[in-house]
Amino acid sequence: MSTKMGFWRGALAGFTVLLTVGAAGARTIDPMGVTTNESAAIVLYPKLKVDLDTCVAGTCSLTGTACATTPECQAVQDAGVDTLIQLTNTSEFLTKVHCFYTNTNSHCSNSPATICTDANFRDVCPAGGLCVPGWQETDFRLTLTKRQPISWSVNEGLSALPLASTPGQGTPPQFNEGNIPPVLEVPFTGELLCIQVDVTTELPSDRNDLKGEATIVTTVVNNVDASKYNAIGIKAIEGRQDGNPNVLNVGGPEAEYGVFSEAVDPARFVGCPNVLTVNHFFDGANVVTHDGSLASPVTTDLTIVPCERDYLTQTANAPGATIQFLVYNEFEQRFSTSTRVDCFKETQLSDIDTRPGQEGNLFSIFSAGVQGTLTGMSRLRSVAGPDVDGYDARGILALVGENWGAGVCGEPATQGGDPKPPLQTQLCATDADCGPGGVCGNPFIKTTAANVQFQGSRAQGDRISIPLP
Amino acid sequence: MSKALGMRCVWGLVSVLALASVTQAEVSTDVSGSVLVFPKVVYDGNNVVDAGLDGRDTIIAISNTSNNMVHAHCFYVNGAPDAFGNPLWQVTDFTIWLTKQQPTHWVASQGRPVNPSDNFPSGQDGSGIDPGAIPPVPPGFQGELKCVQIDASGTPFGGNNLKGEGLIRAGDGDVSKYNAVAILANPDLAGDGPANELLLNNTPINDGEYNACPNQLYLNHFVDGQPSAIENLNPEACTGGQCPIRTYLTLVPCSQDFENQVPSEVTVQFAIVNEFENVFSASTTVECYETTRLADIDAPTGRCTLSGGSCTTDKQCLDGLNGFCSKNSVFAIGTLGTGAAFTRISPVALDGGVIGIAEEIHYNDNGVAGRAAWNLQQNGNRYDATVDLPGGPVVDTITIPQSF
Repeated sequence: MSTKMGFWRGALAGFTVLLTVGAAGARTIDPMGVTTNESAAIVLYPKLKVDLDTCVAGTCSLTGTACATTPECQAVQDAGVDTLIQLTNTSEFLTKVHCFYTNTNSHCSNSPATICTDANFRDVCPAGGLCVPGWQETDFRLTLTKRQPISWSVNEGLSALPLASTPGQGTPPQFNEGNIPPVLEVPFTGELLCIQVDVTTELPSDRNDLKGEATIVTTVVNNVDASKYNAIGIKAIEGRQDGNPNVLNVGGPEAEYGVFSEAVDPARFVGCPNVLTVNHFFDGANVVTHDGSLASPVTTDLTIVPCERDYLTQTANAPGATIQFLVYNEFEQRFSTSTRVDCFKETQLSDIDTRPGQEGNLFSIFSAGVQGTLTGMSRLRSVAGPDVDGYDARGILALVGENWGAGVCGEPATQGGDPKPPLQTQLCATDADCGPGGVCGNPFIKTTAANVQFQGSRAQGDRISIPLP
Repeated sequence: MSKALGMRCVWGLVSVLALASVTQAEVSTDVSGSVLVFPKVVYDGNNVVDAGLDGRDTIIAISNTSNNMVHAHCFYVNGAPDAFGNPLWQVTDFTIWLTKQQPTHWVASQGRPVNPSDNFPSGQDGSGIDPGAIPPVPPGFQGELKCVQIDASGTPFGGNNLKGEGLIRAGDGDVSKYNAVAILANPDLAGDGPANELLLNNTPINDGEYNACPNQLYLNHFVDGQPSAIENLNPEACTGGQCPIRTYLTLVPCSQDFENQVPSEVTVQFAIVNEFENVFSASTTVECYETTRLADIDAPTGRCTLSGGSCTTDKQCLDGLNGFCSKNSVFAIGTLGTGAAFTRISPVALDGGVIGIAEEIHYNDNGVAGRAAWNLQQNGNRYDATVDLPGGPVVDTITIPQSF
């Protein structure tokens, strides 16, 4: 057989095999090292909120009443936002945890005690001031006994753990050690990251025993709102802990966290996802339910945090990451935009491609009026940094939240022509939602929180640096 | 065949198999799948006044995460109780098509017709490429939605291209949202004969068609009756500590027989651990569909907190301004004694798996509610856990109607 004929016979054979195995268009599944479905060694709570009603630019942040100082808002204790953390040891062994609160409040450059945002800094900072992002870490340690759940309020902390002085049921009896401080600044916006460590050495462990949830509760006079999400878990790889315990490699060639994937070619360790996919309503969509009898406007928020963080030098993802967005609407039309994340970003979708604040949101590609459909799917991809020994992937993780108007517009709309027209109740967050001249009665916002989904993985990994005991 | 050609065949086979293989042995809310399960779809009625301000409806959102057209065969399963209290188990099915990367949505009470005129003007509800004629659900619907990815001929297809979310909305505007549970397919074996039987038996130790259901579900929850954070934030809205948290659990069996219209039944055990490491237990049977307040699992009746009168639901007490319906349950604060608990949910013996979500309600003392839904976590898989048991392993099966 000649070489040329042999080549073509080989190609035909390979093609035949390909048809046999791959004719259905089989999609390679790409496992990744982050999960919200299973226990893990690291759990991340990307969005924490505390607010006891703060005077911001002359208005109380929750009740909306006029004010000159924050104590005026808090004089009548009838409003507040708090986050309840739940953390559980799912194993039968005593477990130790090293946690890091991160305060991501921004402050005025010329008034460091004043909290600001990109939308309001011109109103709250003294003239000429800029809004400087913050990333202030506070850490604490605690132990959890076998299968023990605990919960605490971010505002209050937990000074005495349940089994601090009374032993648990196991043999030998196990006790809780440590305590949980309250956050140092209120109002508070930030995140919490907890790492499972060895009980004796307090060095990072390769067990995956932690699971967690966070519930954000809001109460304003007679209104109540709650939203809840699963903590994002980063799985440890058994036996991969190396001799540099203060640097945790997530994915990459020296991975200690993540998974080993044989579904990619070549097989490798994978960590944080390559792409995040988010289903969402476009901002300003007026959603009708209950067989046409109830309508409400909705906006969507994204909270984006980097995979990489450095608790040693108190920085997160120091060079910053550029996030590329592909946005699809229900017509299959595709739009794109981008933004930057330096350490923490919480933003309404419409503020991604317009100026922060309400101005210009109607012209955003995330606006229902621009898109022409109510829902869309966005794909987020962070641009990787230069390959530094297989690292600097600049991966991101995220949480999506929705804000639904829950006040009631003054007069219900009626539909003529039908002898018994159905009434449509229009819910609202502000008077503007009720149309010209409309008044929103008992304005309030109801929220949801949901974990985003992942797609794909990266060859480059991310690193988390922690102080050692 | 010459040795050289034989080696090329082997090389080709190995490289292709290496690329088109491994699935994670789990069901997932993190990645797309080939079967989507929305465990809780409810519609209480179209008149929010008649249905009470807490009358609820559900918005379904599904996306195709691939660059190819995707088809799905969807099944509504109505598990609302009949006159005798048994689940109806009424099934309605329909088909949707999604173009590349296309998101879509519909409201359970309204469905979504194929109506090109709703694109003009744009921005209306219904604007967009209609995915197909989607029927509305009847008032009183309580159940699940299951969507199976199929190819153009209607044969189940393991593309793993579907993701979804369910949003439950009350008449007072309260909302809660969960991710649909995706069952991943093994692309090499999904759709194997008989094609209308989807075997959930793909695990780390077994090459199967679709990933096996979880062996255990993990639920972190606040105990029934634990005062909400409202007690500290807004004491006037929590007079006498009357601002309880309730947790509702929704479970559906993994196995479904839509061809023979036979509902599945799974008995599950609950192992509850409180913050003092005390362990308690309970059990219940999930027939077709189960959504229940945790305390109702072992305590169907209770007492109103203000009047002491007997009750079964919070609504009965609230309507009479008698507080809330407190129950002497293993899930309640009176028994557990701590604020939080960790519950493991396990099917018994050789019963199949279950999938579920949880929903938490924070009440103030006027009965105003804030609801939040979240997905349960999982441990292990049903197939591997039962492979060594007599009569095992358990293979959950979804049987869809044959094409004819």
